[in-house]
This record gives sequence, structure tokens and C-alpha cells, in this order.
Amino acid sequence: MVTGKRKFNGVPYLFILPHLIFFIVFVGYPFFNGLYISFFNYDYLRPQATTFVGLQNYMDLFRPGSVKYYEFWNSMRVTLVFVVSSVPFLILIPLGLATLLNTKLPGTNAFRAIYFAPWVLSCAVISLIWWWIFQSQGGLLNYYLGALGLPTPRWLSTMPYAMITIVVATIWWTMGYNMIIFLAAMQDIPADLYEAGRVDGANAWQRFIYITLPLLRPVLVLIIITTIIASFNLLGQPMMMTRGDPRLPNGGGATEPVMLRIFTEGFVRPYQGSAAAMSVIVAIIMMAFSLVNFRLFRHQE
Amino acid sequence: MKSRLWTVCALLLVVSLLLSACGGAATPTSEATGNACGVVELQYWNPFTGPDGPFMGQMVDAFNASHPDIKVTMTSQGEYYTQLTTAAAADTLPDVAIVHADQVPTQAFRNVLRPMDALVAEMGISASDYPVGVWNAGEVAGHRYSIPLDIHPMTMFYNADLLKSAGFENPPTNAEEFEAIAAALTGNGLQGFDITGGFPVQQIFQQMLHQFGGTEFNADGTEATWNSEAGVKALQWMKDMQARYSEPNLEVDAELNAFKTGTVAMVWNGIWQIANITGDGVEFDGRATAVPQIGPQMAVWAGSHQLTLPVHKTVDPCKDQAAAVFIKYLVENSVTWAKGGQIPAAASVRASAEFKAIEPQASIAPSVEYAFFPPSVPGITDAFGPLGEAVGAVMNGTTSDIKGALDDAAQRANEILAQNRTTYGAAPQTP
Amino acid sequence: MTPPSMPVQHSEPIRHSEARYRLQRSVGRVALYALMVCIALIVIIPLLWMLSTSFKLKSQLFSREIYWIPKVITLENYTKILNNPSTPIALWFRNSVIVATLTTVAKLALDSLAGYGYARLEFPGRKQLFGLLLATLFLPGVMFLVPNFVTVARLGMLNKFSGAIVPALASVFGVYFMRQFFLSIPKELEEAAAIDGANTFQIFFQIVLPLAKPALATLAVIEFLGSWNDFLWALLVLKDRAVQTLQPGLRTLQGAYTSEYGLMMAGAVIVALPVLLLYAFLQRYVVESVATTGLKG
Repeated sequence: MVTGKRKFNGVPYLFILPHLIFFIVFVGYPFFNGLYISFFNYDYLRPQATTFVGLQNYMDLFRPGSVKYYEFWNSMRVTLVFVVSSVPFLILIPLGLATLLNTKLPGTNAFRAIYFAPWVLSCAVISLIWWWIFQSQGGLLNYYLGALGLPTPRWLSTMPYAMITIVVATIWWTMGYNMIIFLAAMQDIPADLYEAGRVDGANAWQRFIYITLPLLRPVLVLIIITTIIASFNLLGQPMMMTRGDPRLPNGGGATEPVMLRIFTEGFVRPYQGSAAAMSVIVAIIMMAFSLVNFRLFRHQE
Repeated sequence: MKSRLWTVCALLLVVSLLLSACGGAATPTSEATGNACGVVELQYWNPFTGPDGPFMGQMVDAFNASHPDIKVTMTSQGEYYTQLTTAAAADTLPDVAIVHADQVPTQAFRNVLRPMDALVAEMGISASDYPVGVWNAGEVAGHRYSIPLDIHPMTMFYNADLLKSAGFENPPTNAEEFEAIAAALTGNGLQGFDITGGFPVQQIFQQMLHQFGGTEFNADGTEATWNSEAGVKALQWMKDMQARYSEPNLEVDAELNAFKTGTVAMVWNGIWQIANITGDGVEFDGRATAVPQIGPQMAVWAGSHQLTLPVHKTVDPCKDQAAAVFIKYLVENSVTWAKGGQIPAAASVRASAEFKAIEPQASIAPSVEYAFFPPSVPGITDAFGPLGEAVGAVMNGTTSDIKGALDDAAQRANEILAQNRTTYGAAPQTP
Repeated sequence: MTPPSMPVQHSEPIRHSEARYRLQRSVGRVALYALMVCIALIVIIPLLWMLSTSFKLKSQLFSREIYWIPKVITLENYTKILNNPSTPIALWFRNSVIVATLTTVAKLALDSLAGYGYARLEFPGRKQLFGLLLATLFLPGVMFLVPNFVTVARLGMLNKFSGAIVPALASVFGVYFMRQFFLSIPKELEEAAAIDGANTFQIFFQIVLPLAKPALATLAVIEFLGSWNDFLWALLVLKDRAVQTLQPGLRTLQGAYTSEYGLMMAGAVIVALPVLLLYAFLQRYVVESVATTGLKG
């Protein structure tokens, strides 16, 4: 056999196919199905009443003054506020903690375990814990604030406090995750680089800025992107701590992020078509954002 | 360490496979043979996960004991309506389900509930035994979808000790008495009347709206009408009461918590708070009674739990018969349910001596004749959303333009109502 | 054998600065430890407060003074929850075990196969297909909810354990993780086996997979945790009493016991404790697996 087509090897497909089947059914298909649904007025309990509405679901979201317009764009605004107010903390605090733990003092492993522990708890548990801490009657925080003579706001039902409660709970819950990744990356930095820096007379702060940070850059960029995306996906904490309240006069809630809005639209109200349209718009925004970030990242490399 | 981990994993796998083999969901199916029904098993769902749940449990137990050929299994769950809709999609709905009055049309249109016209005649339940409002709440698109079980009205709670200390023996029954008491008991760390910016402030507004002669919607539910003069009067009155007698800016339940400390003379809330802020729930003489008539006409906001027959792909006539018997039993024996803090909807039950002995329900009971309910239009609960937001915004001080807020809310509600009409059509269609 | 070090004669100024350096280091160390302890306290305090509240009587919840150790320690919150038929915690626990275990086992099987396929087995479009899989990680999770809910309903898996287990098997993270691991194994082992006449299956099952035990263990821990903690999908799909799991159950608890915070916290403790205990034992696995996911392969 000199030339001829290479024999078809089906073995690789046997390996990837089992997972791929599930992937196609539960990721690929819903992606397109969601797109499809968004052109209809659809309720899974009333399939016989499905009506084609074309771009109506999308246009409703862009028609100023309509109920859906306010609710959707308000939820986008809330999401943006959350991202902007939580992501910096979710980067800087873990970075600081990782630096602290990187000092290789004896016992840092125990502290590492403690700082990471909240991450293994579920969203339901941490939401409940913090919901109780932030209660204006009997809550731990207001008790101590009152004892110190400080104002005791109604955390869960007024703004801007309600947003703060969600940000605080989220930081406590997830800071350990980024911290571990930063720590692992820092531990990869060869010690002689720091030695050289010390010999050159750099103090700890300068060593951090000129040695640690530049070498962390790839990890930093990745963490920033994934943290922003995770923040976009915010759902559980507002659902269980504030239910999206306080309600705003024009519609929607002051702590109702876009995921909660979509969930409500599809599963509390029976407007799955509209929910699908909202999902598509959010997906487009997120994909654009990821694309832009990866382009930037690749440039800097 | 690793081998231990593997052992643990293997054990867990075996255990979980074994566990999943025993137990599991499965509503018991009974094939309808037509003649002999044998022992019929019914699944009964309700949202009573709170302290009133056990009273319903008592009724179910008593029913099972007195009806050996019917076995009812009760399940009380939270997240109730997503519970129902998921079960509807999975065809695992129960045989009898409690549904709130304002949800009956929506669930009917969404193919969660089915009509029960034929069975009602068999049950021997007639409209005359019920106040008109609560009976009509179960009529959707010309068919009967539910039987009222109870009515839970807005209730006036008051601190009898505080009232006595200011020289008032009785709670107020009209506007003058109300303001007199409130004024006398405001100041020196006391509040005459606490009103919250959260739940149930919207319901309080609805009540005052009706008392001043208005309604939330027009008769066929196509338009919101709360921005009428009556509406502005109602909301203005609430705002005035808040300014004069209440702590400002209270969040939901804060007025109840304040009442419990003994520094508030009166609060309005649902009758279900009886156990919480009267009798043994508080250290002072906390009492409940009917709300006063502030406006020209008497009206009381109320919710109602209704008994319904959910949809099944295959309808079992044996189960339908049993369900009819069960529903009738619950209605006739709803005096036990009253002990949990509810007021039976059936007038015959309310007239019974046994019910009249239950206080404070018996004192509050006359007010249910004045209960109003929204039009039986699907999706009506959604249309209330803008109203709640507007009333909350006004009471929280976010906005001071009462007419503007009500107008804006009405406009948005109309949009929602129009969308509902296009979505749902005129009558439920079975798939 | 090195001679014992002789005390070196320093001139006065140098000894002084060395002593100061040592003092600074000690003070610095103490300061660092103090900082770490403070942060540890901030992390632990909410958990302690949850624990403390769970042992308090209802009447003590709103008292003027805050008691970290309750004046009257009571177990009634726990007994009430465990006895309330509306909040069947033992049943929820059992269901969570079933769902999490079966999901984890299935995922280990599927993801190790697929991971090996993408790492070592050549086929046209391999790189692009894997890239596509990774790309889906950036999509908003909520857009899959409604379509998958309808799919699960049509397949008759609503209100059954399969409704929670099967869709989870589509996740890409495990595939990525195992692929990373397989890429790190030296190729020589597999090449040697191929020369000896082994086919792909034999290479995989007899040579590569046994080497993967630590990676599988780590993946198992993280997938089990993920499934155990899953809230949203379980909330939608496991609605019938008989199949409910812990996390949505906690929300039911929150709704059932309005303002009975002691009961709610007892519920939170019951839900959180197994995970925390597991974490205490397997902490290294969890932390390691997180660390390796962050390092780009």
C-alpha cells in the first residue's frame, strides 16, 4: 500500500462522543432553541398557544416607556453596578491575601484553609447567613453599629445598602477562590528574582510592584475576565437576600440583576419567549466583552 | 489517603444506588375500572408550611379516619406556584390543590386547573352560602374552577393596654375614633398607628381605595382604575396617617416588630398575624378586630384560599368522586381550619356556635362580607406589580406626587393587561 | 566535620543594626500574624454567629444584649426542623447524596474519556471542537434554563433525579481539567505501549487511567461539591417532595419559618456542616484542584 486514503479511525470519536452527546443536547441545542423561542410568544404549559411574533420580543426591550424596557435595562444597570462595585474588591482583596500568605510564615497553610472555607459552602447557605446578619431587627451588624453609636440602616430594604449587602456577602463567599489562584501563581515565581531585587535595594512594596505584578499579569488578566463574567451571572444572592428589592417606582428592583430578571420573566411570569430574547441580548454583550478582552490580552502579550 | 478516598467514593456510589431504588416520587396510580373504586388515594397540595399547617393536617387526619375508602396524603410546600407549574409540565399534579383566589384564573388558563362544574352540583355546594366576591373569584370564563375554603382579611390589631391607658375601652370603628386614638397615643416614644412601606401596604391601599368608592380595575379587568379621585384620596389618607402617627420609612414587618415591643397602639395586617402579635405572642394585651370604616363605604381587603382540581392527562372518575367528597368535607369542617387563624368562607360554618366561640376570628368574621376580589382575569397578579411599586414609593418618601405615581402605575398596568389579553385569549384552551 | 563556628567579633555599630534587624523582623512577623488572625476572624465570625443563633430560643433572638454563647442553649430548633414534615431535612440530605454521587461518578467516566480524546487522540477539527467547548463557558448560564427545562420535561425527567443528573453531564469543566492532566503525562509511556501492540483502549484503561487517580480524585471532590451545592437547577427541576435536595430546601426553610431565625440557622448548620467537615478532611484536594485550574496549560 503506497498511497491511498488514510483509514478512517473511529476510536477518537468513541472517546469524545459520550460527553459530546450530552453537550449537544444540553448546551448546543438550547443555545439555538433559545434563539428560536425568542421569536415566539411561548409558554411551555400552553404549547398550543405558541404564536410567532418575529422581533416583537426584542423591540419591546428597546421601546422606551414600556414595562419590559424599564425592567430589563434597570436590571442591566443593576448588574453593571454590581460588577463595578464588586470586581475591584474581588481582585484586590484576594491579591492582598495571597501576598500575605506568600510570606511563607509557618502556619500559613492553616490560614489559607480558613480563608478559602466559605467557597465550599453553597449559595443558599451563605445567602441565609448574611441575610440574618444584615437584618435590621436583631441582626449582628446593626447591633454592633448601634452599640458604637453609628447609624443602623435598614440594610436589606433600602438603597444603597441593599446592594452593599450583596457585594459583601459575595466577597466573603468567593474571595478564597481568586486568592488560591493568585497564590499558586506567586509561588511559581522563582525566589532568586526577589533576591536580586533585595540586593538592588528594593523594599517590599517595590518588589511587589516591579517583580510580582508583571509576572502575575497573565493570571491577573484571566482572573479579571472570569470574575467579571461570574459577576454578570449573579443570581442566587439577590434572589435569597433581597428578592431584588427595594422595588423601584418605574418597575424592576434596585437589586434585581439581569439573571434574576430573566429567571422571573421565564419561570414566574409565563413569558419564556421574552426571557429568551433577554438571554440572547445578554449573551451577545458577554461574548462581545470576552472577545474584546481576549483581543486586548493577546495584543499585550 | 487516596485509597481511603476511593473506598469512600465506592461506598457512596453503592449506597446511593440502593437508596434511589427504594422510595422515590411516583404518585400512586389507580386504574379506573369503572365499577368498584376500592380504596382511592388522593394527593393534596397546599402552601401551608407555617404554623397554620398542622390545623389543616388535623382536618386531613380526621377525614382519613372517618372515610376508610379514601386515603388523602397532604403535602405542604413553599415556592408553591413554581411547584405547580413544574408539576404541570411533568404531569405530576396532585388530585386536590389549594390555590389563592387571585391565582385561580392564571392557573386555569395555564392548564394547571380544570373546571369542576359537574362536581359542584354533586357536592351540593351552592353560591348562596358564600359572599358574592369570594364565590365569583372561582368562576373563570364561564366555568367554575374552585370552591372557597377561607377568607383571610385585613385585620386591625391593637394594644388594649395602651388604649385603656389613654381612656379608650374599645377599638375604633370609624375615622374619627381612629384618629382620636392615634393622636392620643402618639408622642413620648409611642406611635398611635404604625404603617410600613412594604407588604401589606399595597393591600391597605386597595382597601382604602374601595372604602373611598373606587376599584382597582374596571369590571372586565381591561383597565386599571386606581388612579381615580378615590385612589388619590386613599393614598393621601395613608400618607397623612403615616406623617402624623407612624414612624417613617418602616420596612416590611418592622411595624409588627415595633408593635411587639408595646410602643405602638394600632397596626393593620393580615389575620394570619394573630398568633404572632396577639394573645400569647406578646407580653401586653394584644387584640385583633375588624378594620374600621374610614371612608364612606365599608370595604375590607382579603385573600382567600380556594380548593381546586388540577389537570391530569388521564382523568380517573373514582378519584374525582373522592376529591368531591374530600372538598365537601373540608368546607363543612372548616371550623378546625379557623382555629389556625383563618375565617371559613362558608356562611353556614361562620354561623355555627362552634365558630362563634373562636376569638378573635368570630369578631373579625362580619367584615368578610365586605371583602372584594380582583376580576377573574388571567395574569391579574402581574398587573398589581406597578401598583405595589407606586404605593411603596409614595409611602417610602421616594416620590411625593401621588396622582403622578398612580397614573404612571395605571399606565404600566394597562400595558400588562393588554399583553395578558393577547397572550391568554378569551378562554382556556386545552393542549 | 566543620569546626564549630567561633563567635565573630563585630564592631559595635554592626551588632546594633543586626539586633535591630532581628527586632524589626520579629515585630514584622507578629504584625503579620496579627493581621492574618484578624482576617481569619472576619471569615469565621459569620459561621460562628450562624452556629450561635441555631442554639437560641426564639425569645432570645431580639434581646437588647447580644450573646455569642446563648443564655439558654437549646436543641429545640434542631428537633423542630427534623420533626417538621414540611421541612424533611433527612430526606433532602439523602436526595442530595444520591444526586451528587451519581453525577460525580458519571462525570468522571465521561470527562476522563473525553479529556483523553481531546488530549491525545488525533481527529480532524479536534482543536476547533475543543475551542468551541471552552467558548461556551463564557455564555450566561441563564440562557440555557428555559430550553433545558422544556427538554427535560419532554424527556419525562422532571421531578426525577435524572432531571438533575443528566443535564449536568454536559459541563465542560471536567473535560478541560482531565485534558490538562493527560497532556502533562509523558508521551513515552503511551508510545511504548503502542509499540508493544496495545490498542488505544488498552493504552487508556491499563496505562493512562491508573496514572490519573490523583486527578480523578481531585475532580471528584470538586464535582461532588458543585453538585451538592447546586441550587438553581435543583430548584426548577426537583420539585416533588420525594426528590427535593438540600439547597432549595434551605429556601423552603426560609419561607416556612418567617422571622424564626433560630430555626433557619439550625437548617443552615445542618446543610453546611457536612460540607465543612468534608472540607476539613479533604481541604488539600479542593485547594489543589482550584489552584491547577488557574494555571494556564
